[in-house]
Amino acid sequence: MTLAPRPPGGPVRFADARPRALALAHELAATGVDVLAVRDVLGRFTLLVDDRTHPAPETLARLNADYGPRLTQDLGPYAAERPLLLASELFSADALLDSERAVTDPERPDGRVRVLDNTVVGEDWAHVSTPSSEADGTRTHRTALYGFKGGVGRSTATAVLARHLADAGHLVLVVDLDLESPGVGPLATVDAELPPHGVIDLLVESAVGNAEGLEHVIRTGYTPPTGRGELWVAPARGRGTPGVPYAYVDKLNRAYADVPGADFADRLEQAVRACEDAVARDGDSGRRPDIVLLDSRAGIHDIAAVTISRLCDLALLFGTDNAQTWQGYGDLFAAWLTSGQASAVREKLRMVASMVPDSPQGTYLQSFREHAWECFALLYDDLPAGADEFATDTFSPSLEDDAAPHHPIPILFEPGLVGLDAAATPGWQDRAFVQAAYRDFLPTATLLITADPQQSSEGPR
Amino acid sequence: MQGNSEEHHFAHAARRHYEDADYLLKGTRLSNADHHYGFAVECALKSLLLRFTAVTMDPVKPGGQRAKKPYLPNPNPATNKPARQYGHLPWVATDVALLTHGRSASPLTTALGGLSAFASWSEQHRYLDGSEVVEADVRQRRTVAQNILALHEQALITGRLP
Repeated sequence: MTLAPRPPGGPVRFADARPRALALAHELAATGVDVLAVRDVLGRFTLLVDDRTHPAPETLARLNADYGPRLTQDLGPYAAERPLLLASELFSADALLDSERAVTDPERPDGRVRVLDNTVVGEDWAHVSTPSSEADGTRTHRTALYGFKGGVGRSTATAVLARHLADAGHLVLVVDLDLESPGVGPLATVDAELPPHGVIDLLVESAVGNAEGLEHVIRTGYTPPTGRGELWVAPARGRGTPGVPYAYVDKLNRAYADVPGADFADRLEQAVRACEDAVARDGDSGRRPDIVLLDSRAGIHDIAAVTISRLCDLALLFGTDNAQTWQGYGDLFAAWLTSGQASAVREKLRMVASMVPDSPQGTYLQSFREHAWECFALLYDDLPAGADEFATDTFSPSLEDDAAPHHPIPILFEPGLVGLDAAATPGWQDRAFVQAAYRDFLPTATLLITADPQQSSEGPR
Repeated sequence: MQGNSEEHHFAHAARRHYEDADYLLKGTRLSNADHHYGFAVECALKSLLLRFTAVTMDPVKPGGQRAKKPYLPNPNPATNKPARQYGHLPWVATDVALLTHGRSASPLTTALGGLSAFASWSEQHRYLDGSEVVEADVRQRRTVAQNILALHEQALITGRLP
């Protein structure tokens, strides 16, 4: 690997540093050592040579003298104060070298170089996992609804979908994780009053061990015609306690805190589980929900990072067909690619084309699908030249593959839905225009949500 | 980071004091080992304060000399008196409370809790006969120093407090 070309005389910029640092790391590793490239919160690199079990080879005896000046020159302001270190020189090399967050350089997965990225926010994008089964062996289906851009009907779709699933006999819980702009709570609650507390209270009170006794879920007033399903809601903001200011912003400003033994991601996960437990606690049946819909906030934000990467087994990605949307998803997918998460995350994802306008022969959806496919190419495997798509282990769905993550599930644009005041419009979900808008979305999403993720080896389910 | 900045010097001095303390402890020279563990911690904490908080060594008065001790500027610009100065250990918890801010405040508070091991430490002990120094105390302070220096080292490599 050669160093990335540098503009003549120009300063080294943030994105120049990574390929240069990794190039030198691979050069060091070629002498027979493992190297960890640590990037700090400002983007500066330290290369850490692991000599914990075997002494570094003779060729690295003068590590700093031989390589230091070059690294400092190549990385400019993105070289750390001490950019080259031996593990044996450190107090705490294990904390870095054994970090679970260190990932093998995804561009050279066979090499001896790993990368440990430290950021201010958003680290959870880089750690994709799927929720495990419950202790009793049952599986709760957790689905995230996310849109890179807001205002695309995500929360409305969540409310409509939740009711549809309850109609099908499921015990459904909707959790509003859009803490910065709560919405789905009141939308899905129908005739019931919101509970006094919300997810925000759970996060704040649990940080001081005081979550016992919170009332943060409510069974909605909706009764499915079949009489079997139930619809529950955990709003972001509760209705509060009379005479006490709710102090939502004061709570929000503390909600993201890490506490000893639990970072924000752990705490959000615990909060969602506490909502599920509360349904079992407060419900007549004593059952936990079998379907949980997580209304995630829009944008590249930590809540979305935790929700998509860790809390859900299916993420419905909402979007409309425009340049900003694809740029945004492209940036997000690129981050998953460079952090080595492409194969883990792509199986969870499925595009939703929201607010689809009338267009002749479905040209809008065709264009949407093509743009989605171009974006997803980042996450899909490259098909070796001449290989048969179906005969290899590669995950490389074609443009036409209608079960692939990029293939959009449509929600039709319906002017009546824009600006609908759900609270003032009882029974809005039963209106013909609402049903028409969601006619493809509801059955397809239901199928994806209720499928067992373990049974499929290909596609998002 | 400039090679000759105060935080650079504190970082290197922390390490040097720690290594010299270990060297002395191996020879059971407890008093001076204890002395250097204290300075190792002091230097590491000053380095952290200068890097991650508003604490500075800039001239207190415009046009004056650089400060001799790190200090927290007074929020009231009318006064030239620092809000807080950082000298030798022992420090109380509020001295390092500045570091505990933002998301990770609580874990850091726990890590710095060990500072209480230095409550009975004094740089003035270097003038005493040494009979007050007990090996168990020195070993405990060594553990705390090790933790704080590890924390300092991590912060320098990752660019943030744990």
